Amino acid sequence: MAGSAFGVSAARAAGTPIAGNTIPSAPRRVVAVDSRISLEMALALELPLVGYSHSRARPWVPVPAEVPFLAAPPDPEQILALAPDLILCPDTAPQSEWWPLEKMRRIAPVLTSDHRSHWRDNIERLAAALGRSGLLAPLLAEHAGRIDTIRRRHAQAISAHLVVAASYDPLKRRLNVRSGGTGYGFVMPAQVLTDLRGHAVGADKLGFYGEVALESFGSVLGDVDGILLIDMGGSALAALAREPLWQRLPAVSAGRVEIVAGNCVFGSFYTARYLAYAWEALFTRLNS
Amino acid sequence: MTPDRGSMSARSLACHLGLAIGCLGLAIAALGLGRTAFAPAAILQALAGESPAATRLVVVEWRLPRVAAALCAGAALGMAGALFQTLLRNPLGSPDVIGCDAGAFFGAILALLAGGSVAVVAAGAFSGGLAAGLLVYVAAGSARTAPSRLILIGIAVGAGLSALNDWLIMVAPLDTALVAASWRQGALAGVDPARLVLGIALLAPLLLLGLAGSRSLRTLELGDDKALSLGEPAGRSRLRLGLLGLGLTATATLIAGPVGFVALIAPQAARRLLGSPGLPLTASALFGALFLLASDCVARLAFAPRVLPVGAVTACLGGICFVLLLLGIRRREATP
Amino acid sequence: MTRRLLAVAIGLLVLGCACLAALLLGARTLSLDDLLATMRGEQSEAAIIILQLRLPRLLVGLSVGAALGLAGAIIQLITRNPLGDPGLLGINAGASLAVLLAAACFEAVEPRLIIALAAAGAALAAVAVQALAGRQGGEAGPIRLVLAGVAVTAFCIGIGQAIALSDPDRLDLARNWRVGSLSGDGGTILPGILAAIGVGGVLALLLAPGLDLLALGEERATTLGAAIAPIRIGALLAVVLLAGGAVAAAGPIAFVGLAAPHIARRLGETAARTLLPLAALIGASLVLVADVIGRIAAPPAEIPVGIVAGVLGAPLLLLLARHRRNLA
Repeated sequence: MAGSAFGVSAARAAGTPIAGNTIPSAPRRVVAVDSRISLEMALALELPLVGYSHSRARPWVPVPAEVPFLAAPPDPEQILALAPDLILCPDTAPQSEWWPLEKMRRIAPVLTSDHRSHWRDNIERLAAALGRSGLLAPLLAEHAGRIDTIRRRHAQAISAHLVVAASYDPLKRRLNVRSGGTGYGFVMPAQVLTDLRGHAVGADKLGFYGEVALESFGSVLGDVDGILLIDMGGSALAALAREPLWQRLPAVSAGRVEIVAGNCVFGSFYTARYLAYAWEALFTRLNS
Repeated sequence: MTPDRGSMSARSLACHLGLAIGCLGLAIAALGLGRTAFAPAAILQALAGESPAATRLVVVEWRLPRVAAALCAGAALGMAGALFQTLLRNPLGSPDVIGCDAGAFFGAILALLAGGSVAVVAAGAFSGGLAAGLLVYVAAGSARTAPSRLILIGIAVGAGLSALNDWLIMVAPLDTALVAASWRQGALAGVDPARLVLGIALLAPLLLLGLAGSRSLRTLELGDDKALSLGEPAGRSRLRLGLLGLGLTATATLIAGPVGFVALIAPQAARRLLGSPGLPLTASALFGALFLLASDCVARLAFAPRVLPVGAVTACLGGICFVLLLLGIRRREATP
Repeated sequence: MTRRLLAVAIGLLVLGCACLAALLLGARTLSLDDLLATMRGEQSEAAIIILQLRLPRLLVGLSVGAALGLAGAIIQLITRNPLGDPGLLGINAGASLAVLLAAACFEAVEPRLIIALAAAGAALAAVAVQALAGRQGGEAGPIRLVLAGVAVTAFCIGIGQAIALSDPDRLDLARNWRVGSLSGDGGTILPGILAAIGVGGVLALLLAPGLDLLALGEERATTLGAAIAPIRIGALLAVVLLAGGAVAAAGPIAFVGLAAPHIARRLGETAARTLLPLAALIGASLVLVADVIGRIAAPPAEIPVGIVAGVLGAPLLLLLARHRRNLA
């Protein structure tokens, strides 16, 4: 189902005139509706941004200071007033107030993304629609080189170890493990780990959204060798550090936990780069 | 003590007219106000199709459905509230308190999860609301004429369905959950055009049926025995009016989500405005429309650029209305 | 008399089974051997799960359930209203609003502080409801109280939603405070809730004779020589302590406060002196059973106790309401 929705809207957005407009070959005013995927893709492809929505850009995403953070959820009237000639918007929930695809289509041509696909597919499709594949190629090559280097340098650790990326929810006292195949789809930590050919705990051992209750830490994470712990802010990690069942995990007592700051669950090129270094840091730990 | 019929109907006429004009005026204001403001003349031009594309887009395509949804859902909820509160003889006996909108939303969300079309979602909302209402009615058993007991059961059904809705939203695929969660808050911003058109088509006959049922309702207010002596078989008209109320609630839920407090407040406020002994149907519908539209304007404009869910505003305004209502009761008690 | 003993015996038996299940069942199922080994003082993962997770959680669940049962029984007695539920006094809504306000003002809020804030919010809401409802006497007294509760609840929910939605990061906290759950850190929560339920419970039992008189109606109570005002104030204080403590510890849990007194009455108890303890016992069992079900229904995830109580409580209450005879 995901695949077909993806394909159909891609063709419609890129190929047909919308609201009397076609995709501009050199857009001058671009709005990124989603601050993770849309925004990162726009920056990587050097599109001239006039605003973005959803949530504030994470520190590793190089947004120019003059690009404003718009109302969130996005306000169509505000976006219309910016007079964009291209809008980037996810097409996975066209009726939600966060990604109002149909309303966006009435303002300007829209190019879509789907967080359930690999970030590379999303950005390649966008670059092709805008005729910027040439601009993208060196970026992808740079990333592939980075992935290759890490894979070579840590070949032993990557193939031998079972790892997870996870964040902690202190209110519900559980870990949210960011493996592929949970309710969140193909999340970025899983995408980068897959590219590195690493092995993560499978979604079948986790809750629907990757949850692991505190009391199941031992049975689900007992054989994990390394943990990439995502720090979403607040006092979550301090609370986790106090839990005896966390301290007892072999990976934790052996010091094989790498903390990565900031919400890096969804994203594109910049988040992929950020995560590649984070995974590398973890595998370095596993080697030592 | 009883006011004479002439002055009573004059007041009633004035109130109805006032409410209708209020709705119209507020609707025009709501079409004009926002990030970019438009004068009434520009709005009329846009409605007539003689304005620039951008103005038309904002006024006709974006603000008009929202205003229409608020008016329609508000009217449906106001009338449904008057019907239920009269049938249950209790101001707390409104459809949102006794779980009917939670039932309608449950049905709608199930249909949404199953990937159904708009018509299927509508059918889901209707069957859900109907099922919740029938469940309350059947569960009340032989004592269904005892309002407090029926309300108690209704609250139970409503809380159970509400918990089920929480559960469904929790386990739904992320993107469906996102849509369902904002629908649940009563987000008129995301009102789906197809759902709105279908809702309006369903609403028109229901409102007319409601007006036609006004006489039976007045008769029922006199008590079942009196009603029977006036040739009104109480049980049957009760059932008919109850089903009508359920239909109106389901339609409102389909359009705007389970927005609370409109059905609770509108009939009480309308009755006080009119000074009438019973809960007036037309005035309740008009007040409900005005109340929901006003709430939506507050939701949209009060904290701009932040847009609040309309359910939050109806709850706040509803709370304030309830306080006024209470103070009124206290004053009446103090000076008997 | 025999019926009463039977009721208590059945209640205790259910409670005992629920306690055992709460210690053994969950995302990870433990055996009786694990439990015995833990009691012998062996150090193992099972021992940590039992002693540091499930036992505090069990005790919090028991306290919360008992507190809700007691609070519900008191409210139903003093308002002579079958709709009586702590939630109706605005206590749940007040507690959630206080927590959300704190979350909106500060970056991170300490768990201990959250509990204190929730209790304060619950108390404030209850006071506001009382002030709005005005003089307690008169035939319309109970109705005014319910109306005031609806008004305050509406107001708190409205503002709470507005705060929660103004920031996606706070949405999670808000969602957590919409549905009650026992997954919090039991060890931190326990002392507070135990103190609240201790004081509130003793107060409630001391007031039992007065509550019986109030349940007869204000006029008859006065003619029988009861001092109405002190009883009412004491009862309300007890409700705020009990229900406020419960919501502070676990968030809003529907039905228990409503259903526990109903079940107690169904078992033939009407005198406050025996109705209150039985309602507490039943409330504790209900919360515990709901929590165990939520823990084992969809492993390794957990269904919050508030949702289970809501889904299971509705049919239970329907069943009771259908056969209800002894409603005050």
